[in-house]
Amino acid sequence: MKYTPVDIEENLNVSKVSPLVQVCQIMAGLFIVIAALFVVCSICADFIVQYIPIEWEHKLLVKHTKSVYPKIEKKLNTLVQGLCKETSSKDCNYYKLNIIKCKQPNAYASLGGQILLTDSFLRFIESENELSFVLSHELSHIINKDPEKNLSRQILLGLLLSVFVQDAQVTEMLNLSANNVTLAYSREVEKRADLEAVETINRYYGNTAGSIDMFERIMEKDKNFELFYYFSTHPPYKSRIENIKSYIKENNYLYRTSEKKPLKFIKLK
Amino acid sequence: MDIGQIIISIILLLVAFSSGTLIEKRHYKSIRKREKAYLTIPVLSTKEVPVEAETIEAVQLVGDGVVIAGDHFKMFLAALINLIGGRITTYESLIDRARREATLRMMKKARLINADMIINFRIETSNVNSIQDTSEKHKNAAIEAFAYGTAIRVKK
Repeated sequence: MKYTPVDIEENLNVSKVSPLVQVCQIMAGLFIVIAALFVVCSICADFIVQYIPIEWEHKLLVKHTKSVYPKIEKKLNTLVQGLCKETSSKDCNYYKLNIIKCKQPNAYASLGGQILLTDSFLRFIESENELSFVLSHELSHIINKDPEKNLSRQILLGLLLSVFVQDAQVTEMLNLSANNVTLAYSREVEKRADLEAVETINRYYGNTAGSIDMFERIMEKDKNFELFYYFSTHPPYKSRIENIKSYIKENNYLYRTSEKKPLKFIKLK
Repeated sequence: MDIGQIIISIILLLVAFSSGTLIEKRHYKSIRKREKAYLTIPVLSTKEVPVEAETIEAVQLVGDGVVIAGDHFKMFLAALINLIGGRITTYESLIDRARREATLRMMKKARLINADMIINFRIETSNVNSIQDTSEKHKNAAIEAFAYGTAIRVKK
């Protein structure tokens, strides 16, 4: 028997697929799956949330802590009640405003009909109309049960992902795509809340002035904001202002800045 | 997860991809070069000796192994494919390199003892990761390939 060596150049053991293309294809596919899961979770969350009575939420979640600014909170709560009466809600008695100490000016709508304002936010505000717009915006979130929907959706999606995905980095990447879908949805919700807030303050004051003042001031201060638009839960301020302006124009609402009420009753130390 | 973390993750993956590809290309180049050089030694998987028993001068076991680790990008892609199923193509080259490298090292030993052929050639492959950490907390694809066989020197 004679041994005749033959050199085989081709390597059949390794598939000739570009790994980068493969990553992109799989990520795109998973993104579609996550978007679909998100829609399913949203439908489930919206369905579940409407059956949770506000009394239960209030009992379970709202803690009666000692207020930092009791007098101001009392006055602001009267304003919230007044604004709430202009909306379609029947649960106004459960909605409560709390002021928290924080260096970051911000306002949140929370579970159980809670509105949280930071004290720096109250220092930032310049007129009562402006404050009422923000309060109405948060009221719109509460009336539409947005915080509850958000939480249920996140829990459902998180559960599904944790069951199927074990690898830490893949989970991180999937969370990124899930976040993108969530953010896009959240920006839509914010737009709706803005318009509902315009409606509420128009009914309350008969004037929509003050609805864009705050956004304009933030825009002047923070010019880098647009850069981080894709990672933000809220739409860019410029588009929010345009959105509100065109809504006011469409409905022929009154916009008279001279009739804005000054913010007399809030004096923070 | 904020923007910083996302950017760091993507940069890490790209760095791992480029370094992994570079190292793999170099390794394959070296493997091809040595394979051509060792082509004269027949390596057979049969147990029977293909020459007359009287002509055998010396017999010796030769074997050598290698451990090759996958890069961060390979592991990430493998984890992604694990979700949907299919061929984990990034590991194919990893295992191919390990087996061929081990075989070449074994042949080098055979060459050192002036062997004319290797019979009863076998390859063992094992996952080094499971030895390091059984809890699977740290998933690093590293495989060991060990090639061995019986080297035979024929009387001239």
